[in-house]
Amino acid sequence: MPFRPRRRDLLWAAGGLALGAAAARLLPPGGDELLRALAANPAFLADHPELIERAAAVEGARRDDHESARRRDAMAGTWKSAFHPAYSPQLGTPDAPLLLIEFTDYLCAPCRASAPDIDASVGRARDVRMALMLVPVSGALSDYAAQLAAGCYFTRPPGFAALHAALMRGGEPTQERIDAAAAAAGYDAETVRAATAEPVRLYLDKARRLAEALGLSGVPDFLGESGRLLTGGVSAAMLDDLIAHTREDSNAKENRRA
Amino acid sequence: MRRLAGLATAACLAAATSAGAAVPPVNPTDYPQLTDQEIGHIRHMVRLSRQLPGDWADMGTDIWAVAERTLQFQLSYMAVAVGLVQHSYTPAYRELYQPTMDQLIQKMTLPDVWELWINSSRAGTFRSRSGDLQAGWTDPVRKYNIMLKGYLLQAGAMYDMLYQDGKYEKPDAFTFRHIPITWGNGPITFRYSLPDVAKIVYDEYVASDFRGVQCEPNVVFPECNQTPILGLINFDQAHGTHYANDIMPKFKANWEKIGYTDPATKQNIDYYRVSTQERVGKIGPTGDGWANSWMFTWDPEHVQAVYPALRQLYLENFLTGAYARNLPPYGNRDLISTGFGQYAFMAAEVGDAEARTKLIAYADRNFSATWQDGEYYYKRSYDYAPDAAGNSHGVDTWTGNVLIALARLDTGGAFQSLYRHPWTKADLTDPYIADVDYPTTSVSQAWYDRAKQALVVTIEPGPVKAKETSFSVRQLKAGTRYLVLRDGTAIGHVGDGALTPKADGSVSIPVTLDGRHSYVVVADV
Repeated sequence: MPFRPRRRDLLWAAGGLALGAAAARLLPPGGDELLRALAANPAFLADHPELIERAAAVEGARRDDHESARRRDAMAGTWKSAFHPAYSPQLGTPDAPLLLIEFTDYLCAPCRASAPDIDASVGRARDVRMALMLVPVSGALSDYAAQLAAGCYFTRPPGFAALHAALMRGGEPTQERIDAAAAAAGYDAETVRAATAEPVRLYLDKARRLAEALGLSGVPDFLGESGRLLTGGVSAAMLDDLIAHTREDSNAKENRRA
Repeated sequence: MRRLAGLATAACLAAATSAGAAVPPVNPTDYPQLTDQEIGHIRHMVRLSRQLPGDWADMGTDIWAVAERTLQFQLSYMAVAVGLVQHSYTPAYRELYQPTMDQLIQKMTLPDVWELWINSSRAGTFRSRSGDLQAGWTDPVRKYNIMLKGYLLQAGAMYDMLYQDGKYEKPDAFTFRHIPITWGNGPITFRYSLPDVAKIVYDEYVASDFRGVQCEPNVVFPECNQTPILGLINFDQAHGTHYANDIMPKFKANWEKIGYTDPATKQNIDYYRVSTQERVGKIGPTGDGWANSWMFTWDPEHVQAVYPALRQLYLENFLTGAYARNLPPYGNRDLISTGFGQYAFMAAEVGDAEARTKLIAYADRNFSATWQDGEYYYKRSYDYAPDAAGNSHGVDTWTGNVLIALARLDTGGAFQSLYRHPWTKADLTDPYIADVDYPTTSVSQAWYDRAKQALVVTIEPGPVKAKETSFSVRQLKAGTRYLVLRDGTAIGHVGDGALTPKADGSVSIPVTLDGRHSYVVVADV
């Protein structure tokens, strides 16, 4: 039978959380006295549940910050080279100072539905480049589309944006449509696939391992350099917000450096 | 129907031989080969394995359905199905199966799968009669929970037997991360290696006086005590331990003493309540098929003895749709089709070809058989109530994703054979194929015949169309001259023209994807 927490359970659980958090981090030096007072009189917290809610919010925000920091460190450290234009398909402004990462699949419905808004948002922001991590999760055709698209990028990067747009925004993907999109962008599917099998394999393997390392459970996902993550389909406004946050974070870093 | 590559192949090969090459006769039809539907089943499992951790699309999110809520069963059954194909159909083609198996196994360590244990560990009055809920514990491996670790052990030990890469020997091979937010004592990680799990399971058999390892506290299910024994068989083969040999005779003695099988009906009990030594209930086809399909490997005499009575009891019920006439409550409806799937798998493993064929045909007719992007499976359906002709169309994801697939892949004693003929290091040094373009190319056969020094490969078009492709042959024996034949006709010797080895010693074989083609790379001595 599923566990249904009662209000009392939640209160006590959150109270414990608040106490633990307070003991560990919240209290300034000398806070031991307050901690002892609360421990001696836990009814105080039960009588002031708004404190518990605020403590839980602080703990939640800390958890988010911790996860963001973990992602930011991963992006700047182990995985940094994966986002270099030599190793992953790029959209937006080349050499732009800000980096966004999109995890996507050409056969995933929310990825496709988000595509126009992504184009609009990234198109507006002239200081952003987007590294694409193709993570095909929808079967053989999805594998094929990802392999071909990545192969086209590695063959001739300038044609990739048009191909990507056609793949994302065309009709329901079929092999014929995928091949036609490649041809329209100036690529021969068979030639590209034969010539790029190894770098594409390495790239797709890395994209998947990165997605798993970040704890992603589906596509699309959007990750800013600040470590902030958006999961699922997005609107242009949501992406604008992520870009703005990334920009602020970058500016703050610059200021600190200055 | 199993494929016949045709007599033409043998005839052509004979002609090539008479043209001057000194090669033994090699006929691809002499070796196991996957059918289109079997390839489709494997492609489906590959796709499910490649979904990101936490994405259970096409596997289950219906929390009321036992077959979906217990994802470890689907995952482990798919892992061993993939392992079976690796071992018995395509031993010389590993780049597809090894990561697939690993990904399925690793999914068993995700919290969605194992955290159910935290509630189960608290027991309570429902089945265990242990009084009010106990404090319980979080660690899913330390004690009990054979319903998870028994399957992890089976799949992990099979992977280890097949690939021998040491991956599961590492201390953190199976890492369970528990990150509670609103309760508990903070994030905690449980790390186990395959040897850890094997030792813990063995010790629990000993501690139980070989009556069986408990699932939730105080409850032993007969079916969940089969896969750990099989896991230990593979583990012993690789590690030189004697866990399984010690357990099997003692557990068998207890099986009879306790009466896990009802001597009158030949059905297994539902479960054994340890504290009161009670045998509780009868499990029905789900549990009977579940236990006996695996038990056939280590105690075939027992299964052969009970199978005729179980066949009498269940088979016609399934074939006439009678099994679905009295629908249980919603939360247990999936057990109707798991009964079908488990019975079909048992019938296949014990070698009841007639029952197997009829059940698979029933499934193909009634269970929303789906071809999608090269995958073949039975899509989940809640349409359990029989139609006017008496057929039920309902199918759960465990049955639709893997149980019927297992019945199709297992033409009799397939797992018995796998456990009796484990791979050795020598198997991994034989020639094999790699660099297969998975979207465009299916490999229905990849077998190295050591006696004939012949690598036999059959390639066919995959779901994505392409005119040409290639595959690589690796680990050809240095100093041996090899002849390459396509559909029985010699296309050249390795080292000549287009068949010149690359720097790493591998040879690329060009393939035209206009149909099914067999390739033989055979020592020309």
